[in-house]
Amino acid sequence: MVTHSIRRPKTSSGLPIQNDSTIYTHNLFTQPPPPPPQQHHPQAHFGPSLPFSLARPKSTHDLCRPLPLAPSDSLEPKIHKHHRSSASLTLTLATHWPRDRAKEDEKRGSIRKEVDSVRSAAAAMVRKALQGSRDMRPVIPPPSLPSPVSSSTSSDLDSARASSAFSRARDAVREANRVANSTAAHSRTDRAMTRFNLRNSFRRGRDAASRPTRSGKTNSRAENVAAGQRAQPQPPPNMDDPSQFPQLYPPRGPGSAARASAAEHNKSQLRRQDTATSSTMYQYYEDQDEMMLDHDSAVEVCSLDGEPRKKHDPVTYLPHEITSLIMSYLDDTSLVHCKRVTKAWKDLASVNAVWRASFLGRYTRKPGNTLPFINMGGQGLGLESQKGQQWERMAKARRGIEANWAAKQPKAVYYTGHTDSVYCCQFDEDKIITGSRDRTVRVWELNPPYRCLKVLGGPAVRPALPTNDSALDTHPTATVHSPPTINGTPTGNALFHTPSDYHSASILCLQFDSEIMVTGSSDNTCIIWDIKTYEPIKRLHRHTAGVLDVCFDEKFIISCSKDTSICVWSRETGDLVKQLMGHKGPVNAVQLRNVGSKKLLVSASGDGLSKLWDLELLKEVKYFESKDRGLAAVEFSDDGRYVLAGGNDQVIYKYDVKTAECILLYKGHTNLVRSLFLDSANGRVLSGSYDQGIRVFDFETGEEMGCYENWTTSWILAAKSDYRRIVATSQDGRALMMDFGYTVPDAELLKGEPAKGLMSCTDEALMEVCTHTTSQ
Amino acid sequence: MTTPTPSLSAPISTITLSPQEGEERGDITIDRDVANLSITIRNSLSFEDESEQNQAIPIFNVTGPVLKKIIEWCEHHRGDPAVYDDGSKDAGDGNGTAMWAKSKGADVLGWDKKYMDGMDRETLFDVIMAANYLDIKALLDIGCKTVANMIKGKSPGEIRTMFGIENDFSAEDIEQIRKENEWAEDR
Repeated sequence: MVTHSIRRPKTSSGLPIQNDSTIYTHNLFTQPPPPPPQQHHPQAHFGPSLPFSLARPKSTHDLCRPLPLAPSDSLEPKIHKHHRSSASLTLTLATHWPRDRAKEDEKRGSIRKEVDSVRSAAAAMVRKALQGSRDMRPVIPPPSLPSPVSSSTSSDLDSARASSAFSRARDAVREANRVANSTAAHSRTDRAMTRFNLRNSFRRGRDAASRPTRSGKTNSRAENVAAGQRAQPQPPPNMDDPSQFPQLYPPRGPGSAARASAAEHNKSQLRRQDTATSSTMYQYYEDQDEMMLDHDSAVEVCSLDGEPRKKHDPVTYLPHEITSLIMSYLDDTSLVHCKRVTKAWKDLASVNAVWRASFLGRYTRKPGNTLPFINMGGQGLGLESQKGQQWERMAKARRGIEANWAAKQPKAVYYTGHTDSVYCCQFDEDKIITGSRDRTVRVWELNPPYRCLKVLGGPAVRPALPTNDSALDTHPTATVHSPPTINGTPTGNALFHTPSDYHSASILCLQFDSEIMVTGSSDNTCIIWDIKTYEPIKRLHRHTAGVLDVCFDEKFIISCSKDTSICVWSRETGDLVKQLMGHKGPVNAVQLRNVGSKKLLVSASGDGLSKLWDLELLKEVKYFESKDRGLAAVEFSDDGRYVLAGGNDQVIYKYDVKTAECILLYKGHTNLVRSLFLDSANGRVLSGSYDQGIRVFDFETGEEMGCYENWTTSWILAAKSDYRRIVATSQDGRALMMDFGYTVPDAELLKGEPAKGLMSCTDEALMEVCTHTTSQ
Repeated sequence: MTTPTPSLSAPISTITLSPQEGEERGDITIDRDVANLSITIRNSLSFEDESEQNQAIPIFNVTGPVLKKIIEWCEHHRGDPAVYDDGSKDAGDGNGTAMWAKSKGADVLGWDKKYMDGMDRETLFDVIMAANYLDIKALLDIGCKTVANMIKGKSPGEIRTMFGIENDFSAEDIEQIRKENEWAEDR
């Protein structure tokens, strides 16, 4: 489809043809015509002062350059009810700008008045011009037009072979209208052809006397144009109304004539439109917008790169593997748009490998945003090494989950069992592990049926039947699972296991990976456990007060304590490497990060300071101040560039590590911020507070993305999340999972590799656990 | 360049390429380190023995002008590392998730962008195909990204306009596809 630059050619006299008369003088599918020679027939000479121009409502002057269509080019079907006013620019208006209906109505009205007022002169003039013109064949329609053939019209075609007589042509046009009305399925072609031919006929009529016929370029499609649109003395309809056409001499004013004719076109279109189905219209506009760009709207006729366009469809021109590579760089929105371009495009845009590339490109971490050593929950990327995953469905599932986050509508699963505050938790793809003031560590299923899998504790804390019946409140509408506790029941007892070593006081903190788990307790010690067997490996003694937080990586285990010190232990041997002093108050939280080649530790203390330590040098390197209230929680961003800290002043601070400046505040909580979690893959900050609420903030902007209050009946002591869930623990003894993927079909496709170890749970495995423990 | 004692001479430092398509068949001579950006050329060089080293390498499927355009890019990038890391290899985090190609989603910038913008579409496609044949992955990637950026964010109608494609869907088909894929539309 060739379109022409809006740069206007000049006539032979060197004067630019005004306005958009070029549209009329150019047959878009042959070369630009020679400028009308200045000679004999004054009335046929349309010269440089040609008044014909398409009327343009003022706003469309801005449409002189091709505009990107709004990404959702959803033109409401009700567009067809609105008359396309001058030059179908309003339609183009509609596709490009939000419609200003009142304005358009007004313009339409004024244009129609103009049209009425200039008809007579135009009709007479054109008639004269067309005298003696030969039978002119219709112009080649735009190749983008599909070519439905309306069989009913072929006879019309023959009958409509006009030989220059206006009236016969006019009849043909009327026939066109009638037939087009009755063959809605072909109306697209009709309209296009009608419009196109009408305009060209008008133009041709003008030039007929002075120019050789532009004949010969028929093609079958043109011939078969529905409604027997043939010949080119085709003036716009109602030619017998002499008032229809503008006076040449004197011109009414620039543009009035063209406006008139355009309005006439539109009127005829209008008549047809009203009978078209709205879906056809929708489709018509949606897929013919290039038609309109090229032919109808004076303003859109710019090629996108300003030069004659070569027709190269990458899907047909390039080999498929290259086109697949191109499409693999597209996001899912663009991919589904590709599906609607042509059938060949659809085939290529549906290839699984393309969707895989698009999915992973969007959802995997960017370079520089490395995975933390301890990965909370899942990545939501499916099983990367597995073949046959349906990436398109996974993309849709991911979107569904994101939508639920945005709508703040998770489903709630309550885990009951602990008999006192639950201080800490961590989860992976299969299990949640919680530690509680009731001195037990519990392992729960993350996935349905959400059972408790294990209870670890000393004999003194063996769970017993609950003494009262009152179940705690659950969320009124979002709860999907909240069973009563099985403590004291045979099943519950089967889960209880006393390991060879255990804490004798509250479990305050824990962390696990695929091999070990480390717990810290009010009994001033840590225990390293084997995660596969839940048997203790070693106990770490050093602290002189409760161990408030613990973390580890492949080399070190770090514990921090109420005794204001931080202990660095070797993971391999369990020996103490160093005890870091420096804080002046209880150290409430620690976190480890590898940043480049450095191993950094960040700690937060009740003295209001957050400190950065280098673990190679085993020294403090920096500190971050809060407003001199205690800090309860600290988080390191994965790339090590930012530290989040929160505490007594109910606000979360984001510090830039390099400059030690506070660069952002996350506000919202109404009480102490007790726990923090940064989900850097998804850009979310999760915080749990004594105000019984969990809040979600956008990491970059600080905007609050969700506030979940009173989903439990007391303080939130820990909260963690991944792409799909929030897992939180409460002082009321419960753990809560808020699942944003519960209602999303195919969310299971996003699940990654199960964690290695005992808890890739099948019922058999569970049975085995039970028999193993009961035999102890 | 002929050498009388092939086995002892220094490796030849320029390569002559002979495009085998199109009208302009003139041989083009380039430096070896420029030619090494193309794995295809590098491989064909490694198969030659000494006596053939001075002969022009025929480059099939590539016309003269397109080859010149490719050489223009190669000459600008002659110092680039020999192995193009598009990040698609597993970064080995230990958790099995590859850091996705750092080239994915990266924009075409700077000189490369000007280079790409300076071509019309037909030449761009020809350069992409030639980069594929000559196995110059970096050029292939930026060419594909350029085309992808042309497509990104556009509606189907706009894509058709841009490439001059005819719609072969019926109204019902398109509507059905649109409904099925509504989930992916940005709000």
